[in-house]
Formats: sequence, structure tokens, C-alpha cells
Amino acid sequence: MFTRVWKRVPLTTLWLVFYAASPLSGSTAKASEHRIDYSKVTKADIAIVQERAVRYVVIADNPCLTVQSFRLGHPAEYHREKFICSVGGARFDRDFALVDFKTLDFHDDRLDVEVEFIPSRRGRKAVRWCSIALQPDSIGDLVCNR
Amino acid sequence: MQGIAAVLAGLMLMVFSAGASTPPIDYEKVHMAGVQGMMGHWVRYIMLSGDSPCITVQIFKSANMEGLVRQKKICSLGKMSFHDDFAFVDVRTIEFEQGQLSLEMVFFGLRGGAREEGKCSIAIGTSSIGDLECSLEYGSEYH
Repeated sequence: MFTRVWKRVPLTTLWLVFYAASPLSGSTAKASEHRIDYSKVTKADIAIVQERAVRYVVIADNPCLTVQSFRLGHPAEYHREKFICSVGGARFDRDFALVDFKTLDFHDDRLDVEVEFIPSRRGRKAVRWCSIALQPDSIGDLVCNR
Repeated sequence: MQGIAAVLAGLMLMVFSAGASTPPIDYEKVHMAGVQGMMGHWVRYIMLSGDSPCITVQIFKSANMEGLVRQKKICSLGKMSFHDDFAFVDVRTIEFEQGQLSLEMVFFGLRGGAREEGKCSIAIGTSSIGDLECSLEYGSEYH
């Protein structure tokens, strides 16, 4: 389950880093607009990418994908959080019946996501390979291949 | 009077047993998690930061993680505690397979840091969760 990129890194290191970064209550005001019911987590993983500990979280009954980053070696310093709730101009909660994040894989500079889009109206469901750029100070938007 | 006492005793038993079977989990510290439908239920594994490397396995009635049927926190291999009997335990991968969770794990012994890795499994039934079993060279007491 641990990523290809950091598969050989002992998980303890990340546990210590991540544990030091908890609690996550130090999140920004933006985060409070998107309350996350972590008890309904269905997918989660963490990896070191671009000198940050990056975690993704998928929550049942929540159409968004949450991506969070934490500074390494800086306890309790929560760094970035982004709620991916749309692709292009299409919103997951409005323009699709279902958006399913099927697989997620960390890489050196991005998080690759295989997404199944089921349209809310007529149309075929589509599986797309998408990507979220990860930089030390930013979490990109979801960009999908056509 | 005896009937009331019996009812009260029953209620207390329910309260205490519920508390014992569902210890609070700080889900916000989720580190690794996955869900899959199995045998009409939904099975979730979850690992928390700071809880290394215990694995909590839960069986739910519904896909939105409601209706907890069974829960088990696994922090040992046989009689060997992850915390007390190993220098370090690492879970590399967890995957759902037919009737079980399949894991790749690494164990570092306390003495000399002997390293042992191998495939492990946790059997999943309709309402039961087995113990961790591993194919390692440590000896039968681990299996």
C-alpha cells in the first residue's frame, strides 16, 4: 500500500513525522469550510514527495478528494490542504452522479489518480487517468487525460 | 423487582460490552486505509500515525461506513507484541483477497536486529476477523 516512490522507507519515519504534525486542528479557515468526517475514511495513504509528507484522504459520502501536506521535521506545522471537488469546470457534486477515485499512486512530483466518472445525465461512464502536481509549496488541480 | 434488576443488569452489560468492543479511534490520524466489499459486507483496514504498526480491521453493513458489525485491532503476531517483542515492525502493503487481507510485513527482532520479512494474512468472515498469521522463519509460535 505504501507508495512505489518511498516503498523502502521505513514507515516509522513517516509515522513520527506525521504524528508530530498532528493534531490537524491547525488547518486554515478554508479547511473549516470542508469539514471532514474522518471516521468515514475509505482510502488514505501518505508518502514523502518534494520534501513534504503528503497525505490523500477519500471519505464516504463526500465527493471530494482531500490532499494535505506537512513539513518534515517541523512538528505541528500543517502546511497545505486542498479539496479536489472538480475537474475543469465540472463539479463532482453537481455534474456527475458519481466520481470514484479507483487507484491513487504517489510519484516524485505528483499524485496519479485513476478516476471513474459516471455522468448524472445521459452518457457513458468513463475511466480517466488524472494527475495532481505536487510541489513543495503547492498542490495542483486535478488534470485528466482525454 | 427481580425483573427490573434483570433489565438494568442487561442494559449495563450492553453499555459496557459496546464500550469494550468499540474503543475510540482517532480517525483524523489516519495513515493508511482501504475498503472493499466482501461477502455482503464492507471491510475496512485502517492504520493510524502514532499507533504503529497496529492494524484495525472493521466490518460494516453499509458502504458509507455505518453499521459496524465487527472490529479488531491487531498489534501482535501470535504471542509476540509489536510494541514489546520487536524492535520494529513495518507493514509494506495491504491488499484485499478472497476471504482475507494479504499483507507484506517486515519484522526486526529485539536482539541483534534480525530482519525477517514475509507474507501475512488476516482471515475475514461474514462477521469475524482472524488473527495475523505470517509465513516467517521465526518459528511456529508466531503462526
